Amino acid sequence: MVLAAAGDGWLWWDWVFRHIESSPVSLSILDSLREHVVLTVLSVVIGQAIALPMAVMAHRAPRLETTVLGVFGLIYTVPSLALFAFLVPVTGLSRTSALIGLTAYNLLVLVRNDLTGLAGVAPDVLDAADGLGLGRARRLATVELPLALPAIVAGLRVATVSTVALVPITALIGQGGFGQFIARGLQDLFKTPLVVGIACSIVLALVADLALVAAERAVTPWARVREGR
Amino acid sequence: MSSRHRSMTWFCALIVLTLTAAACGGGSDTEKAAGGTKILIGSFRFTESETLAQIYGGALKNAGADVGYRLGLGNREVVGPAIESGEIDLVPEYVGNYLAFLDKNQTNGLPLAEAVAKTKALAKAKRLTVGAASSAADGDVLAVTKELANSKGLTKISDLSKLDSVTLAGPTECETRQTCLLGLKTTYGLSNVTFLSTADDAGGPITKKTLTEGKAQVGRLFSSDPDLAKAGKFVVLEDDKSYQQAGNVIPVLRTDKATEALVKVLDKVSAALTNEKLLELNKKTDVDKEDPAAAAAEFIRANKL
Amino acid sequence: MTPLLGGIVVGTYRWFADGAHWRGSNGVPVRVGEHVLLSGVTVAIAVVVALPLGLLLGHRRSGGLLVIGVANVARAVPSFGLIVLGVVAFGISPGPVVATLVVLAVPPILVNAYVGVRDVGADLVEAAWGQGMSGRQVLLRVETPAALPLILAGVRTATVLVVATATLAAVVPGVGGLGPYIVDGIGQQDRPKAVAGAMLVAGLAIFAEVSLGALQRRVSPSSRSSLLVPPPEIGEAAGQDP
Repeated sequence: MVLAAAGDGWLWWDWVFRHIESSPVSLSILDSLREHVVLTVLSVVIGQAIALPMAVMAHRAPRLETTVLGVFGLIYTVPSLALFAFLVPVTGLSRTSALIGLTAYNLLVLVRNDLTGLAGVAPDVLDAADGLGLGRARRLATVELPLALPAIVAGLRVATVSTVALVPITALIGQGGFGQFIARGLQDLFKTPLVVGIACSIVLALVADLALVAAERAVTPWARVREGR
Repeated sequence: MSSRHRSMTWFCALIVLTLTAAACGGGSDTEKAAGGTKILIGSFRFTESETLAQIYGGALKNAGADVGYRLGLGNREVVGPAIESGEIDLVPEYVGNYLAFLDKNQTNGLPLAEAVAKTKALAKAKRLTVGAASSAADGDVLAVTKELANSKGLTKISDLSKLDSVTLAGPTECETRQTCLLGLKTTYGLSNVTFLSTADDAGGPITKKTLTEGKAQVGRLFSSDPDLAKAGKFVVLEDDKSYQQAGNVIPVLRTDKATEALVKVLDKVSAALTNEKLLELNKKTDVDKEDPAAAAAEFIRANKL
Repeated sequence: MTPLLGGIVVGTYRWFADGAHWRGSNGVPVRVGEHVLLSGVTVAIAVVVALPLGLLLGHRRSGGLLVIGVANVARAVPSFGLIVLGVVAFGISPGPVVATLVVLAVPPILVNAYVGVRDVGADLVEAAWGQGMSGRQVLLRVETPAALPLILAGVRTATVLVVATATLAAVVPGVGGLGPYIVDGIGQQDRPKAVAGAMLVAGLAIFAEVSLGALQRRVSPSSRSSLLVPPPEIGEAAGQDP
């Protein structure tokens, strides 16, 4: 087995520091961070852009709710590598394939939480809104969605963390974010990039989670008032 | 504005802001040409290929070309179509396997000059130009552990018939190539061979592990691997029926980018590469874990390319 | 696009129709069998490890913070990274792969068992104590049966997760399963093989999801849940933290 003294360690700091800055040819923590964030943000935002309208429609039609949950549930059950195998012949080894797959996996969690949120709005509040003469659309925008916000954000949190953990698999189709470090770890049985890839991915997930918690607090001040904080 | 309304607006603004940031921050998959001809260099998914790509690229850059990279694309089944379709413009190839890829019926090894001539002709039909072949070669080899070679008396590939059953470890593409598994069955007539896929590991540490851990008897490695040196753990089996081709390094370039000046630079690099230097490069990247980019830069400086 | 899709559909149909693909050590029955065995062994081990612990912690109503921590961190771990870690640390045999998959399967089972037992109605539990049952009897005869739907939901989630992640084990030579069809198919530009493999593993995952869902429905007193919808993870909806 080809061995190297420093290269065989779990955390060869010199190597880590050499691979922070951006580079078109070498592994770069900064480049991977950007790619990882872009893939995550795009797939979660697009996912919610699909899920929320579906939730609004399904909320009013129980039969539609069953269908939507069933379809999104089916997609969620398909193993990710299989889903990418279906996509690659059609959309190639591209970012598009990665995004389609990642977005598809978010749909179930997002729509389920959106539905929970909408269902949690008390009927008397809705009656009050109707009594005020608010139309359906205004009621949705100014009453239902704001009240459903905690559940919606909970869904965003779970989706975001799960997506960050799923992005590395897209390294198998040419994308990857921090998955590229993991792939290098596999290719050369090289410990340090593997550790960097896993650690950065986990840290990013936790940071994103905290950021969303903070965003939720900022956007729902009435929730804290109600709890008397 | 009610506080709830204001919060909704903030939330929407947050989403729009994030989307915009994501869209702006996102890089594009392909480099856009700034004005002059941009040469996009691709490589296979093993370190030596990435090093070679950056050596050719660095030399071209020193000569004034605008160079970009798409390294580690995959195996030839991916890279071949990529250069034919124009996704990449240049790739450092290996004569023998490239010829076998262009002509699936090419089953026996040809002398180098003939192989190069044939490759040139076949490549021309695909609007590709090949440069001069380097003396540096990296061909597919079949290797076994020293212990197995000694205990069963294996020195050449035909000796594999001495074993009751042989498992060949190699990357996925090995299963369907004449220069790999298929050739063992046809050219060598070995009927006792089964295949163990190492997925994307092309002659790398995982393939070697299958040999040292006894999961396979024979592994598809590369001739320029530092582990095959005399003090190494593995022994190369001689290709006595010449089913492998000479693996000389040869740059392949899209004809519409192949100016005389460019080809001259490529030939200069190919002339500077030798077997010893290739081995040295691999030692740096595989043993010392240097980055291919750094090793390539050192090589360019040392050879004044 | 349509002729391309048509070509893939026809190619995949032909792949399945080819008898050679059903024989030998790389044939469909063997590969499916390997995948089922790998997944089954993993889930069995994970249940043995996680279920008693989760039940106990839920019964004692202690260790909640630990369980929350496990649930949150588990979701953040990249499964691809974990599989490669197993290979790099322990080599290319099935053992490390199974160990890695067990690590992934434990959290859903642990968390669901814990929450399931902990959230059993207080009146039910008090009635049991009142009848003079010992702690162990309360756990075994009252709490666990009441928590069964949630426990099964956890096993269901873990099983589908393991079936999916076992495909990544294709990077480990010799482990087998359905992953190699996909990885080899992509590497050999053999699209029908990759799509066929994807269909097989998707089918297996869906089968596990639906059949365990049916079992879950059987033990749920009142369940409107659809068979095809994966159960929500604990902590998914607002206000449902473990």
